[in-house]
Amino acid sequence: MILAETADGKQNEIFVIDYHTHIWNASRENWLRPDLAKGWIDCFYDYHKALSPADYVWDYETYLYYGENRAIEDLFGKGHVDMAVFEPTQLKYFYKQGFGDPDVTAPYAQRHPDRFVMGSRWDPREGEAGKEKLKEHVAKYRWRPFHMRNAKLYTAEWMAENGGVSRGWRLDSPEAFRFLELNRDLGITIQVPHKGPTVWPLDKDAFDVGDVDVAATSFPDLKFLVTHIGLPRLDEFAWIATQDKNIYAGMAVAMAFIHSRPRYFAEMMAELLYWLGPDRIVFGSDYALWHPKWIIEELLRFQLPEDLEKEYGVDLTIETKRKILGENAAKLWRIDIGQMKNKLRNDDIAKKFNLKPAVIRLDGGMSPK
Amino acid sequence: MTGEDHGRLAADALRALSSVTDPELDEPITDLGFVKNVSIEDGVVSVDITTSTFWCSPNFVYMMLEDARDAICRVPGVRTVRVHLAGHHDAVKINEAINGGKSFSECYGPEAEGDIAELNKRFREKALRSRLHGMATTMAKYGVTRDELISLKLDDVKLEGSKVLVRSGGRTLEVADPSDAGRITKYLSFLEKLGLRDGRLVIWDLEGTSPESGDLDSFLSKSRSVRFSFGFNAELCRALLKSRLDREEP
Repeated sequence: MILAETADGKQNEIFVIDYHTHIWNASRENWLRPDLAKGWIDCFYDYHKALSPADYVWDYETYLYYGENRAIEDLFGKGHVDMAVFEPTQLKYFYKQGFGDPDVTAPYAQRHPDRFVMGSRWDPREGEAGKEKLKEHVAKYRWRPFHMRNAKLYTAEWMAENGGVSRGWRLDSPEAFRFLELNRDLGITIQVPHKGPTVWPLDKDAFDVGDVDVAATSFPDLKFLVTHIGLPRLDEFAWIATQDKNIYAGMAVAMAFIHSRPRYFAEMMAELLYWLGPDRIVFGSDYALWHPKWIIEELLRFQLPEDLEKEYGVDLTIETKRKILGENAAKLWRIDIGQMKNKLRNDDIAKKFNLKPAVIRLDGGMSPK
Repeated sequence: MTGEDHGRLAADALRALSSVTDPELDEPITDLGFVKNVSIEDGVVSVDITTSTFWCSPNFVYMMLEDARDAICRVPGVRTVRVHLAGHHDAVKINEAINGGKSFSECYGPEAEGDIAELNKRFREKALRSRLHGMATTMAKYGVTRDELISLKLDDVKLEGSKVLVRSGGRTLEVADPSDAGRITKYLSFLEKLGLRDGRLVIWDLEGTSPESGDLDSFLSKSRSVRFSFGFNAELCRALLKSRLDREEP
């Protein structure tokens, strides 16, 4: 919990839900195909180093595997996050036990069901076995009503197929539609598509979000929270999200620009507020790609430059920031913020870290209360 | 070949490479830092290229490498070109195909459904729109109204040294600031590549269609998103490449 203090001395309560977090395992023992496994985590590490403030850069070894306790400390103990959603990325073609397999992360959520929000993933190439797995996850892992409401869809996942490798899938195929129907039946209402670089067929644009458009139009009762706002195709994302009101902007990756490239961040916020408005933008740190603490503090203090406010006709008020940091996600996951505030005030994690609402003065200062 | 010839050929090759853009970013690969080295031996020009990540999309990488190969081939005195991509998940496959003169669909077979001409066209159109926005906002800064902009002809815009002169509304505006002039010439050079020499200045697609004046605002809002997207992605690629090089070549 944060108390954001505006210049007039008013304190605004901010409840933070991070829609995109990982507890991954990229340790060497877990590398199945070393070139690819190393290539994957090295690329993550480059993202981490490229955009983190210097004080927050980890050493490479820690980055490979940091584990549950470190994640709890970073997210809840120090990082201002009240609740963190798991978006599992499986990658079993690269890693023996997977990179962030739901069955591996489930015990973390089971131990802290009010803090970690359990989610799963699916892939149409897994056919009937994949459907059974998803049903099993819902049956086993819905420890709270808001658990198992989201599925991460990494469309560029590599998978062994017919003695070769299949390098991805699209959301607008008949097979994917069967899965979306099942998700609807299972109450997995938040689909979290994440575009990556190598999607079959290779002559098409892997980052094209046209398939999300097709799926979102066909399943108006499901929500599509598009990870890293369709980057690198923000222009196309903005366009489909303007038309389909069940498409949401997932801010993982994009948020991290706030520190070292604030002008780009400002323009991006202006674009999103202009095309989508304040109710469909959702905060995510993509932890451990980036530490949520600095992102949240900088977002609270961030002011949209006047020229952009004027050009786009938008503003980034404290109310909008509160929506982005928690309220919009709470609506998606049907999390009752008032109830959770009471519950988390004295839970074991609050006690362990002696958590009190952090007062963040929007004029720059910060004092623990 | 003398050392001097080598030097001149290397400089010509590098100049040729500066005309090659990353289709996803609309910036020259030389500015992005993707060209790591150009070397020459017995008229064979070898170019080492890297991408900002191990995972960059093979199709766009292929377009860049084909363009790089072809650009150097056109340099007088070049007998053979070898393009060498390093640090990419498909480097071996791509290098072999590019240097063997294969097309993208020959390289990828059943992994692709067709060739990448259509994809290339889509991104060239984006580049046009991004540049259109850069030009239009610059014109506005110098007092050219939307109505004036839509009626401007290519003839009305002239280059004079590093300056751009715009004849509009019975007056001539002089754009001398290098970044402002650069945004206008970046757009003009695209039209020149399309082979357009006359007609309206503002066009919206590769066929040279001009928007109706009532549509211009909405076209410009959309092209603002495209231009922002290109700029954001280029910034991300630069940052990633820097991280990568720090890690690999400390």
